[in-house]
Amino acid sequence: MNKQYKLIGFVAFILIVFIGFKVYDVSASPEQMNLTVSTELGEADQMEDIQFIAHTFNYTNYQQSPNFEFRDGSFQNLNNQSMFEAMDYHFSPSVNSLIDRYRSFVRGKSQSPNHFTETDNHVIYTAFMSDVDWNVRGSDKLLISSLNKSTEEEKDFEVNLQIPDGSSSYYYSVVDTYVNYSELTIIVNTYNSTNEEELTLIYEFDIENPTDTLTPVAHLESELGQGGKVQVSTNVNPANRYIPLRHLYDIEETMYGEMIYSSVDFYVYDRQTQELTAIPSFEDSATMVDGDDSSDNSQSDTANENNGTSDDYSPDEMIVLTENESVYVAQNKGESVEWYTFNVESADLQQVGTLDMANESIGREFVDYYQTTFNNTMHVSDGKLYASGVDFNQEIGAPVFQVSDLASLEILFYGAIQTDDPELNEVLEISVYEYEIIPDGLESND
Amino acid sequence: MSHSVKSFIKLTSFELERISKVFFGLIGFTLISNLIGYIFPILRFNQDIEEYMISQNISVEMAHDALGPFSFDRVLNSGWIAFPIVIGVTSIGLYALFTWYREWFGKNTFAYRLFMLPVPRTQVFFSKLVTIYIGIYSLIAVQMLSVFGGYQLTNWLIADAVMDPNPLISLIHSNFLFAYLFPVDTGLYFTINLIGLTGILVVFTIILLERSYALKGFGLGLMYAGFVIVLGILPHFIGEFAGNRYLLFYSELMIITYILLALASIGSIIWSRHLINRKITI
Repeated sequence: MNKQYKLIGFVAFILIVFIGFKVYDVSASPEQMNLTVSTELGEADQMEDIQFIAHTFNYTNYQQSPNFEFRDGSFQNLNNQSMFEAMDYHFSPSVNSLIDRYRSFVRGKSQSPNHFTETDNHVIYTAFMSDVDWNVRGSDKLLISSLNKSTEEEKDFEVNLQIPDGSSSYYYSVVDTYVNYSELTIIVNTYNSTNEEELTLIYEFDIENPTDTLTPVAHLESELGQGGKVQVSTNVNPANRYIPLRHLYDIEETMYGEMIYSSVDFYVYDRQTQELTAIPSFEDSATMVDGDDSSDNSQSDTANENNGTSDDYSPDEMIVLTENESVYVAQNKGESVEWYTFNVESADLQQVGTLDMANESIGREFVDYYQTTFNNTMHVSDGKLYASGVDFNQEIGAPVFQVSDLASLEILFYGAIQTDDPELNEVLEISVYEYEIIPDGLESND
Repeated sequence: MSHSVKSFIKLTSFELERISKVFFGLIGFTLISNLIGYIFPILRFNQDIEEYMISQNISVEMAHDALGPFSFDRVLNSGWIAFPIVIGVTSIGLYALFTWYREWFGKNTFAYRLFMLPVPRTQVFFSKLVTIYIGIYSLIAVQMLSVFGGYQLTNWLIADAVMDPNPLISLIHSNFLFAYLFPVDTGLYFTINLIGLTGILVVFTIILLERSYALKGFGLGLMYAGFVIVLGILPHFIGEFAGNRYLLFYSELMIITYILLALASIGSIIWSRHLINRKITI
C-alpha cells in the first residue's frame, strides 16, 4: 500500500479541497434575501393584480443580487429554481404563466409577451413568421392561433398581410392584439430600413370566418398626416373598445442622432367604427368645467410653444387611458393629475377631479426602448388606476407603486419594494422589468 | 479488496507516478504565476494612486475617492491567473495523447509489457483516464487554495478602507473562468464535466483507432470525432432546420444534449474496449 501513497495523497487532497470549498461556499454565501412590499398607505393586497420581475443588485456583495418574480401578491426568489426550471424560465411573468398552464400551446411560438393575448376563455397568439424563424426576413406572413381554454381546442391560421400601395417593408412586428372573440384587432408596425418609412397598420381578423389575406382597416400615419411617429398605448384589457394613440411630429434630430418631437397629439381609435377621434387640448375643450384654467393653459402653452429642446418639452403633459367603453384623459401636473372623461361622440372633456400622485413622475416615465408604445407604467383596470415608478428619495432608488380608485379619486395603496433589512436597503438597487397588470378573472397561476 | 480493484489501483498509481513530475511542474507554475498576479496589480494600483496624487496635487484619501476601491476582481481577471489555467488545460489535453503514444514511441515498446500484464486491458484504459482526471482536479484544487491565499495576501497589503467590500465567494461566483472551474453552479459544472469527459473519451478512441488501423484508423477517428461534435450540437440546430426556433423548450434541448453526450461517452468506451482487447497492434 505504501507504493500508492502518491495516489492516495492526490485523491485525498482533491477531496479535502473540494469539500472544503463547498462548505466555505455554503457558509460564506450571504443569507437568502427576501423582498417585501412596504406599505405607506392602504393595504398591500391591492398589489395582487400586479406582476413583474424585480432585479436586485447589491454593490457590496455581487452574489447577493438575486432576481425575483412578483406574482399573486408574493415574491419568488428565482435563485431557488431547479436547474431545468431555470432553463425554461422566461423573463415575463405572463409568458411563464402561459408556459406553466398551456405548455403544448406555447410550444413553437415566439415567447414575446405582446404576441399573446389572454381572455377569460381563450389564449390568442399573433406573431410573424420571422418571429419564430430568424432566417426569414421581411415576411408578411402572420401566424394566428387561438386556444379554447375549456375545450383545449386549438386553431391555427397563416395569413398574408397587405400593406398600403407603394410601400414595402422589411421588418414586421405585432404591437398589440385586441380581442372580442372571435374578432381580433391586430396592430402591426412595419419598417423599411432603406427609406426609413415606418407604418402603423390596423387589421381585423375573424377566427370563425378566416381569410387568407388581410388588408389594413387603418393606416395611422396616413390618416394623421404631418409625418412623425405613432405610438400605441400598452393595454391591460384586450376587449377595450378604444385604443389610445399618441402622434409625435415636428421632429428634430440632435447631433447625437436622438429624435426630438416638439408636437404631440392624442387620439383614440374606435374598434367598432374604425375611426380616429382627436382628443382636444385642455384649453380648446369648451365643456371643461371647474378647472384651474390659468395653470391648465400655461401647461398647454409649454407643450405647444416649445421648440424641440428636451428641457422644456413634456410629451407626458396629457394622459389618455381607456377601459371598456370609457376614455379617461388626464392633465399631468406633477404631484397631481387632473382627471376628465372624454365623450368620443361629442369630443367633449368632462372634468372629474384631481388625483394626488405619490411623486411627480410615478406612472409617467417613458420606458419603451423601441418607442412604439406609451402608457408603459400607468394602466386602468377594473376602475382602478395602477401606476409604478421609482422613488429617488433614498440614495438608491426603490420601485414604488400606487393604486387609486378612479371613481372616488382616492389613493387605495401606495408603497415601495424593499428588503426587511434597513442596512441592505442602503446598498441595494432594485429595478422592475416586465411590469404587467392582470385583470380580475384572469388568474395568472394554475 | 478484490484482485481486480487492487490491480486497477496499482496501475493508476503507476500511471500517476510516471506523470507526477509534470503535475508538480504545472502546480509550481500555477502558484508562481498566481503569486506574481497577486502582487503586481497592487503595485500598479499604488502607482496609479501616487501618479494621480502628484498630477492633481491632492491627498491620498482624495485620490482613493477619485480612483475607487481596490477590488480583488482586478487580480482574478488578470492574465497571471488565467494564463496558468490555459497552460494547465493545454498540458492535460496534450497529456491525453502523450499517455498512450509514449507506450509505443518511448525508449522501449512499453505497450508490449503493459498489455501483457495479467489484468484486463480495459484497466489500462481506465487507469489512464482516472490519472488525467486526478491531474485536472489537482490543478483546480491548487487554484482554489491559491485564490484563498491570494485574497488573504491582498488584504494584508491593501488597507481595509481602500479594499472593495465584496467578499471573496461573491467574486468567485461572478468570475467567468471560476464559474466553469469551480463547482459554484451545479448545472453548469455538470454540463462542463460531461462535455470534458466525452471529449477525453473520444480522443482516447481516436488514438486507439490509429494504433489499430494506422492512417485509416486515424481518418476513421477524425470522422468519429466529427460525428460526436455534430451529435452534441445537433439539438441546438433543430429549430433552424425546422424553421422554428421555439420548437423545443431549452430544458428539453439540454436533456437531449445530455443523453446524446452520455451515449457518445458509452459508445466510445465500448468501442475502445473492443479495440484494446481485439484490434490493437503492438
